[in-house]
Amino acid sequence: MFGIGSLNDQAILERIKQGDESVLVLVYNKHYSLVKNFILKNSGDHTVVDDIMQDTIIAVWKNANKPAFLLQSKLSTYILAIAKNLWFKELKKRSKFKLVDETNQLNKAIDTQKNNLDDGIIAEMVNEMDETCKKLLSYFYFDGYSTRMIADKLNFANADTVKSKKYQCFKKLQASVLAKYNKADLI
Amino acid sequence: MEDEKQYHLIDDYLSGELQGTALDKFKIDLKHSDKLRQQVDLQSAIIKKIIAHREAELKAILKKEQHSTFKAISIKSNIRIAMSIAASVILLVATYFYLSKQQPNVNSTFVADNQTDEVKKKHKIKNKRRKDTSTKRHLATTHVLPANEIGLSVQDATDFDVVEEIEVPMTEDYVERDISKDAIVKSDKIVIERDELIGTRLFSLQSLDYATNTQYKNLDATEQTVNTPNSKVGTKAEIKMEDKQTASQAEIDIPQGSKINVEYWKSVVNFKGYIYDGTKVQLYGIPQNKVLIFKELDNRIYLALDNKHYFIEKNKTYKKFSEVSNPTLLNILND
Repeated sequence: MFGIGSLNDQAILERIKQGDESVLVLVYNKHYSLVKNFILKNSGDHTVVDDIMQDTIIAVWKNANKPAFLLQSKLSTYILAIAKNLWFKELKKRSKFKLVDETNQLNKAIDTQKNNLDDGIIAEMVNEMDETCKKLLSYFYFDGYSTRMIADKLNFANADTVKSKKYQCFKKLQASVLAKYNKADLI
Repeated sequence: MEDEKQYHLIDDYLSGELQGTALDKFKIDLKHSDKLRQQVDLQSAIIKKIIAHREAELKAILKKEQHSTFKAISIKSNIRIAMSIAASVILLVATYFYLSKQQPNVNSTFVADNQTDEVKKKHKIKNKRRKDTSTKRHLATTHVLPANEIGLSVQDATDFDVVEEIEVPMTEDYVERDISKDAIVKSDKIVIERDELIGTRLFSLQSLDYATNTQYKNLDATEQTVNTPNSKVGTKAEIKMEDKQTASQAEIDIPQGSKINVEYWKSVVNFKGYIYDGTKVQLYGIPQNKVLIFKELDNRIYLALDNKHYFIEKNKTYKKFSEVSNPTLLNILND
């Protein structure tokens, strides 16, 4: 296994595009102190550092897989910029949260509970999907891989096959979610 | 087939790929069809969950690696601490064995650097004596070495801090003196010897003042006239003044009685001399069987020994015998 010290920024991005998840850990460890120092100097504490750092690395992963992505600075600068945006967004969310009155907070809590119930059903169904469908849908919706790339990764004949398989997997998931949702709604 | 087409259309709409007239047409349909709206909402919710699932999957990888990294760091630091402790223990044990091998041997001439100052001093004295008395080494093994034999002057010998620390083997003679507490045993190996009091005697003090006073009484009147700077004929009073100048200027208090207490001492370094504190005379190096005569003249004491006369001056430390050389004074003393 290569150490990140031996990889330049472009090589790291290449490995991300190839779907090498191990490189995420290396990027995470290398830039952890950088992000941590920034958060601690800007009203943050150690409890949020991990969350912000994880979200940052996920964002890098997602963006790097976009076809139009072009790294115009050093990777560390890019990562710190994402971390800054995420942290300022979080701070803004926190300051807004303080202004919400108790009534709104109560209503929101009820809505959140309802949504969480629905979200929980969907998440459960996603987990229960077979591995191929799970990977296919994840690669397409999260990683943003093209159908051609997914075909290569999952050993499908071509992009059309991937497209057809994707529809089948999604319909299957949707059917199971609907079945579960209706059942829960009846209860 | 129709469903699949609609699914891809919604997919393109949600991903932002639907553009132009197709997007406008889809928006109109979305506005007028509840079923389509529900389908879009459902498909959007499922896609969000798929994204969230994948995100959670990646975060799990990061968390897992993060914990294993911290664990590895923790194990590494624990190993470092353990290694440090082990190294310290090994170092201590090695030092202990090294030092135990280097323990000073009393009979050995080797003096290690880490030995105590006391041992070093002892070896220093022994080595010094070994150099000076290499030919008379056998004497040192039986008893205290005389100062003159080991080549030390009386002045050197009086430096008791250095010389009195003499190691004496456990001979019969030594044991006797140990019992008499003349020798102070500080430890099993170091013996410190002190001067030894042999005996005490009371001597009568022969006063020559009466005889001289009667002789000089008549001269007192003429003393001032005779004792001129140009006078070549010395009087007895002039002689007395001369002797006074050669003697110590210290004030002397002679005991009022006609007796004087004399102590015979044996010096560790065979010092020959005396100490006179004004009340008693401590004689060093003078055997008890010698005939001694103490004489008093003009508030001063003289010792007659072996047809010689010595000054006995008041002092606080050891003093060597100083022989009277003035013939006039000797004549008076001999009278």
